[in-house]
Amino acid sequence: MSGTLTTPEWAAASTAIRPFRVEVPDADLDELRRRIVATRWPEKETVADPSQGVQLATTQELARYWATDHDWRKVESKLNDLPQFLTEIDGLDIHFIHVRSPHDDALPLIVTHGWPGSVIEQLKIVGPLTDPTAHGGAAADAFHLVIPSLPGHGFSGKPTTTGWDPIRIARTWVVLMQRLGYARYVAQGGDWGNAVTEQMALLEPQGLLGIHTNMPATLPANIAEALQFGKPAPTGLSAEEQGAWDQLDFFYKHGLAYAQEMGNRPQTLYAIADSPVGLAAWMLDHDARSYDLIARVFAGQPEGLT
Amino acid sequence: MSPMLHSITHTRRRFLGSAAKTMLAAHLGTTASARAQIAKEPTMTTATTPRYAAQDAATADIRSFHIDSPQADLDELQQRLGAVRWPSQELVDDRSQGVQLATLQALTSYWATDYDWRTVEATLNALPQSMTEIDGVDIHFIHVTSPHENALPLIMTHGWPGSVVELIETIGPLTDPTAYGGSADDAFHLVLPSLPGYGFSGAPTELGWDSGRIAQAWAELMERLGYTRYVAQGGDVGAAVTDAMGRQAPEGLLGIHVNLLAGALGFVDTLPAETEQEKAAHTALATFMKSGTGYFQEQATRPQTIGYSLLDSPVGLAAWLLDHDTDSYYKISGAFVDGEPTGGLTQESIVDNITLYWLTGSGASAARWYWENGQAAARAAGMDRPPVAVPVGFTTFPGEIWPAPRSWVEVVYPDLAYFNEVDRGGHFAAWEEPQLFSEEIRAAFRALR
Repeated sequence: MSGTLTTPEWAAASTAIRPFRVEVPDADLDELRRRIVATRWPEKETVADPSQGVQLATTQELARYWATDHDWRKVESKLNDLPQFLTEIDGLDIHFIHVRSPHDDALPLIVTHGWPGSVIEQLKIVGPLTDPTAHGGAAADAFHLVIPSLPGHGFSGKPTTTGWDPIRIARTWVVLMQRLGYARYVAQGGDWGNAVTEQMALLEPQGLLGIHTNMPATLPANIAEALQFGKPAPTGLSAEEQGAWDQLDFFYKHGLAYAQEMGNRPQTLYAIADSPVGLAAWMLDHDARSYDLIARVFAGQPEGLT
Repeated sequence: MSPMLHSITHTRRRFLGSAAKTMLAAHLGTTASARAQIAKEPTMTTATTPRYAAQDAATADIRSFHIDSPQADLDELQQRLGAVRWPSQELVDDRSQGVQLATLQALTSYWATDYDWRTVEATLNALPQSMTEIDGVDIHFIHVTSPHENALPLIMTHGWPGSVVELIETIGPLTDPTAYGGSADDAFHLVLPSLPGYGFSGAPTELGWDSGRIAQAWAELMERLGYTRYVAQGGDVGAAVTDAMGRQAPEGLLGIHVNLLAGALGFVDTLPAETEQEKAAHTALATFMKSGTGYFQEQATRPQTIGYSLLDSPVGLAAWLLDHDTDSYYKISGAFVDGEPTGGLTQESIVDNITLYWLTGSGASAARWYWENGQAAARAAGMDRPPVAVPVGFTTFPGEIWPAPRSWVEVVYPDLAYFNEVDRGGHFAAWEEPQLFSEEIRAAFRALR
């Protein structure tokens, strides 16, 4: 048996901001390919839609692509072309990308990813946000961009104590922006990034001018209660509200299991550390719309996601 | 699909019994082993109806069955156990984040070094095992007739994350009571089927295999075995199937006994909450509903998604199967970490069950029962279920997820014919306390003989 994954070497204690590069050993990539090729597959789902989860055809095409066509070194280069750093905050190494705009008056912005994402979600916005004049915007729209990896995600350290909730992460982001010398800044996030960004707003730290979220995780009390207990929709909803209700109702009835499991038994998911295909399926099964999009990608129709 | 991925296709057909092998040989004009036949299949195909079932269309034949696991499968399992990629340790000192790393590493160490599948394989093969196709699915079952001719036929159904391994130690006390402190009048002829999608039974390829359909298949099985008067018993999924049999009341079914009050979930708001015991049961039920249903919801809504993990990672499978309920988790953890097993929940028996799931590739197909159960519940929403039409017996084991007080059992089964609370045992009562469990079964059915 191999040992447990331990704190990475780059996680030496320091409050300094240290440059960081991604350099995955060849042996790790070989090992990954070996595992993908040796996948032991379940039988096909017994339905013709995603109602039993990630479909076999999608997962097998993903595995084929992963083992034969995908080149980790390409995204590694992309990441290493960006200024990346590590800094220890509250006992934990935080990895972040920090791209300063060529425009001196740019507004500092910290953008936080979610689950099942990483800084890879944000790579395509680095250009438009930091260099707007090259992307159809005005110099007055420029940002100095900070993209951290959440604790326990990607190249950030894994907490070894409990308590790293969105409030603590929000405090950490405030320290990060201070440490970078930003006295006035804004924050943005979706998914868990939204939870952290909301908490930053609630902390009202000096220098935070405003936030933007693309996943309002708050529901009216009567809606939240009806969803939680599987009750019918409240009467008098507008057409737009009814549409949102339908999506939420579906999600509560059919889409919350991953969150229940990770919310209650994250340790039990040993398989997603041991099985790359198990991990891939677990990460693809987030929400109906993104799954449909990703399934189309692996069926040969790349869109925004590739 | 790319031939480059030398993936291992996983099906139950590797376990072709001697009868099935003969059948295959007849069809193929060869005596080559089933294994050799499988090796010719294209890679990355998926498991389908077992070959022998497909070739042996619609037959009421009962074929003898013998487990003959390919050594290559056992070697491959060893290889995977030797190459586990572990997560970091949980941050708490209890099970509140799931199966603890120390427990799973101790289990894996035992599995990789001390465990021998061939022992339980021989135990199972020493029992009369058969296979018969019912409603398009091959059903595997153990069938032990009592030396006492007037014995009462009993069909007993395991649950998830169990298998027939749960029930092996009850075979002696139930079929041969005089050798286990009972009297000849308490003898049973015992039928222990593997649920569809579980263990050596076939995995359904069509929809609709909910508890009701399994109950119908069990009635057919008992009829096929020539039993015109019989009783049924079950816990967990087995309780749901047995409950459905009680409501269908097929001719010949004299009564049922269950040891999990699954039906309580449909009456949470009306279950009595007066006595200390009732309040404690409500607390246990609420705890389960609040923090213990992750596996249930995942299997009910996404069996395929978790299926990839359960087929590809043996330690992932082991952890998923261990994380069922608090009482059994700590008992099982104690067996591995402290070397102190509780009753029949020994290291060997726990790993027997996990290895059975692994070798038969049952992770996804077993989980699918929960999905079918959810579909059935949605179909039945707003409709009254027919009442149980035969006498019901119930035993409350104290370590059960929600130890049901008599008042609760009477809400679900108003015409309760037998009730008892015992002083030990939990969710896997037959597995953990086979003697005590068998005494309960004898007592519950005594009046029906």
